[in-house]
Amino acid sequence: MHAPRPDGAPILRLTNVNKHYRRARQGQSDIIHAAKDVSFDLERGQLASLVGASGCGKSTVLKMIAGLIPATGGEIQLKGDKLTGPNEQIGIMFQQPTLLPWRSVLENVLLPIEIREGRGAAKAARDRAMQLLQMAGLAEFAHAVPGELSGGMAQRAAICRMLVTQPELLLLDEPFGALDEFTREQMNVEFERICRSREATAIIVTHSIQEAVFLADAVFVMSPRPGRIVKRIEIDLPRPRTSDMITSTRFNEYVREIHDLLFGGEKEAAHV
Amino acid sequence: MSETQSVDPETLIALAENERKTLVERTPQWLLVLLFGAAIVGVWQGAVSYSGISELVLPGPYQVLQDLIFTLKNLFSGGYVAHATWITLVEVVFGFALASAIGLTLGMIIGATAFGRKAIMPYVVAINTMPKVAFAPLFVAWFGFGIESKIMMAAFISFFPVTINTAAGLAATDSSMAMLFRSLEANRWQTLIKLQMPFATPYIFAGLKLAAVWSVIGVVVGEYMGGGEGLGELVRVAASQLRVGRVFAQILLLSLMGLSVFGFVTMLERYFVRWKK
Repeated sequence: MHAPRPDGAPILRLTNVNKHYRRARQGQSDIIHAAKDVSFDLERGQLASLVGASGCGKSTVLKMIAGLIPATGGEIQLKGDKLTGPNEQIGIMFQQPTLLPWRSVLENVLLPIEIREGRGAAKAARDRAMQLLQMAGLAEFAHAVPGELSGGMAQRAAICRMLVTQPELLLLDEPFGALDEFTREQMNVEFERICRSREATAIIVTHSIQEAVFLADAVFVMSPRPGRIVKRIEIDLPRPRTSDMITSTRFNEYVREIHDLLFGGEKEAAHV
Repeated sequence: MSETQSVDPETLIALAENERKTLVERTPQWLLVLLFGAAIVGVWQGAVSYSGISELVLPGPYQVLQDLIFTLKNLFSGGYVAHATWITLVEVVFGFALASAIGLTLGMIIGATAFGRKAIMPYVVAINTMPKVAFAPLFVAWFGFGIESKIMMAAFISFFPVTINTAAGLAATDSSMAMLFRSLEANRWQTLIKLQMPFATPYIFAGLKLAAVWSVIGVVVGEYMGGGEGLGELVRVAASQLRVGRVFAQILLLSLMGLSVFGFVTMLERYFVRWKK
């Protein structure tokens, strides 16, 4: 069914991916480029972050990869196959945990399997789901309902749900954006650990430069109107990443570089 | 450590706020309800005693109490009131059930299909703007003088809130949850059953609660127009004989019936919507 993947071929390849909308305003129609000529490769086990101001098209790019919105041009390939819609080899999570409040945490984690393969398969996968919850420190909350979880715990449950189908590629849209600063940092450390232990390939969309640098092997800096990648910055920091790296010089050099790319035009004003 | 620090400062503030509360705010609610009720009864008795209004038009509280005792005695000894109550209860329950079934079905069609939303919804709204009680004589003509016409009338009057709330509930599905289901390649049926319907249950129950009360209204209107053997018919007869106290007592039974159906729906709601804080 799938063409054999030549060794070293990327898991994900975006080639000149475009998304534009036609917007009619006062009788005139103009074209909005949410994403323009976005191209990059992602190797197995790489974590990439897309960082940029709101409206720079980073979420649009993520949703196109997820197959939630169609690209208007270019091509997205997963393991050499063209992606045309949602794919079972992709796991996704959003800013909100989007746990179904009427289901237990365990049933929520099993939801992707239940929908894709039916109730029987979901039942058979209970042990796997429990292991994931164990890993996320949620084992004792498996039978609780989401309303009993804190924001951070709910996002950890959402991580488990994303991982339960053992996807090749993880897509995270501002996954920790709604959490408070302390929880967020803790989640970053945990998420990095989880990804490392599973050799996961992931793209994290974020507007936090620190988060982008902390998690990623490569940071794609995006700029709006038209939404495009202005630079790919390889982050050469050792793994595991730890909280104290955040204050290190090297870390902050990356942060500064990205900051200058994003706010370059306003440098003068910002320093007043 | 000084003594003041062992007490939570917020507690102190709350206590201070408490002292500023008025007498009414500090009185327990049940006592206020009782006092206010007693005041109304007092005014009522005064009005009947001193205004010269005929007992036939407005009986005093004592007369009404006597009628109530008579009615309740009759009810519990299995007299004609018991029979009428049973008939009306059957009509209300079937009318409510029918309204729920029609409302849920229509609401799902409207909420889940473009055809329903675009083609059926305008008709439902149009029907709702009609004074539905005015249809009662037609229902008698169509479904006869038995309980059928009352059931249909009750269903006709109360299907609307269920329909609208079901449709609104289905449409209110959280957009990121909908996106999650799309990313999981859920088909339409899965999305409806596993996401939209559970999400809509609080809305649906709000509609069902309205329908529970409205179906009693529908049944009574049906009985006014089409006779029969229910409580509505008893009310009509008692009023025509100027037994106003009896009317009050029977209306009380009707409202208790509405309250029971309402309570039943609330119980179901507690079970089905227990996930909602």
